[in-house]
Amino acid sequence: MERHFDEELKNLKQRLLHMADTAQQMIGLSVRVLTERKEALAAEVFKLEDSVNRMEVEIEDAVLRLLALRQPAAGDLRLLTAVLKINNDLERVADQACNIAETATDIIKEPPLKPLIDIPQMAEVAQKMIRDSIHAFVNHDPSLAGEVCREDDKVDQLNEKIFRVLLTYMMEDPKSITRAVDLILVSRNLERVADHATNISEDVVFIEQGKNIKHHIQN
Amino acid sequence: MAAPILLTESLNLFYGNFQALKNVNLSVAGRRITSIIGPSGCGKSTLLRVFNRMNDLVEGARVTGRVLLDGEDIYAPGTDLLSLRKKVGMVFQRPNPFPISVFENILFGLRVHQLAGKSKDRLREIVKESLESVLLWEDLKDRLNGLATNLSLEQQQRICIARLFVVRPEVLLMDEPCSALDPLATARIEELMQELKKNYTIVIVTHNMQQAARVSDDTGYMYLGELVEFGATQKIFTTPRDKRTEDYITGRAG
Repeated sequence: MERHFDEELKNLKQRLLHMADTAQQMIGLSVRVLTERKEALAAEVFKLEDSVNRMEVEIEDAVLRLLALRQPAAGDLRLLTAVLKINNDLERVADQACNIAETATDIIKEPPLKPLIDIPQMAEVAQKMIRDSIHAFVNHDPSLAGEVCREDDKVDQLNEKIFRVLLTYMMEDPKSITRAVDLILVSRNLERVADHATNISEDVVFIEQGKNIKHHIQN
Repeated sequence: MAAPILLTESLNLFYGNFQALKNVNLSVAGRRITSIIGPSGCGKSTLLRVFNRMNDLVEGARVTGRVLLDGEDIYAPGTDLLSLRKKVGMVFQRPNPFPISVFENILFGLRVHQLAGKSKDRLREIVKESLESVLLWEDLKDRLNGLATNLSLEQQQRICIARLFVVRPEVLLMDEPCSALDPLATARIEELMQELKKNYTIVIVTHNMQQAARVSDDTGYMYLGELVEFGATQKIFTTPRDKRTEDYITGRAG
């Protein structure tokens, strides 16, 4: 039996999808501020953040309304509580994009410290993780969600590698410290984005299978 | 889970040619509230009535399998039905006090079981204790001789619960005990159930899923005479195993 409630849930998912798409796009733009040395792109990131913030509040309101009025159980309940959390994660992803855009704006005022290789790669993986986690959510695909969780290791390794490389620059030349620290911050922001994608994927597994896989705790 | 007080093993029940219960294996733990949910006609009330053999009154009803109360088969030949129904009390959907005084309603069970013969003071004490346990004493202590049928529905339902206590039952069966009550009276009966479970084992049949979620420790879902799923209430309402349970509690089917 198709319920009116299903329509409301579908609508909510659509909005979350739109928010994910925007947040993911913001990460792409913020990294391009750095790689293409285009300050103007930062302004676009900040503009998109306003709309993400608005979406966050709207989605939260919608979930609260459905919890109160529909008194959901089982799969519906898991979906709605997970949407609340995913909503939060996506808003944080948008925040990270703003952090990256701000730091990148500072970095490009100085000449390049070194050719950027690892950071663009990391950005690509992190963005793909966000996209995949949302695909897993929309397509009820816990196995894709599992793959996203495994990708997180790759991002963590890149983050460590970037830190090590930049450390050697700072040791060799104190004048490089400001730029190197800023690049480390960007790398850290991207690592956080991947963490949020991992959270979303864990929520997808919870929605689909009722299993909490966070922190490798078995229940 | 603690040792079961009530246990059914491969329980089947037939009304003539119609099979109302199909191979039900249920284990009810002591001093907990167990709720049975399911759509109309799924057999949940029939199952409840198995536990004090109320179905015996239905012509053509036939039971196979075993039903154990404290380890003893209540369908064994020679079972004393009077003593079974003393141990296993029942509260119905419509409050059904007798059209006599509150006082005599409470003592009715004692008289049936010929346990009366007690002094007037002792009887009054029993009535007091029993009404206190359903939080009615303060309201009714000056109206004990009034007709029970003149009370509000909620008070009548409380009387029906209170009058079970005088014969010291172990198990309370409740068949939709709140469906004739308004939401506030329902909430108060539910609070009362939480008090009662300290001393009694409660099995409740309800159409109201939220009620099952609120009051019970364990929940069983029945469909077409089958016990589809049974487990901790929290588990049933967050992560049911069976798709039929999921469909029912999310209002998709059933």
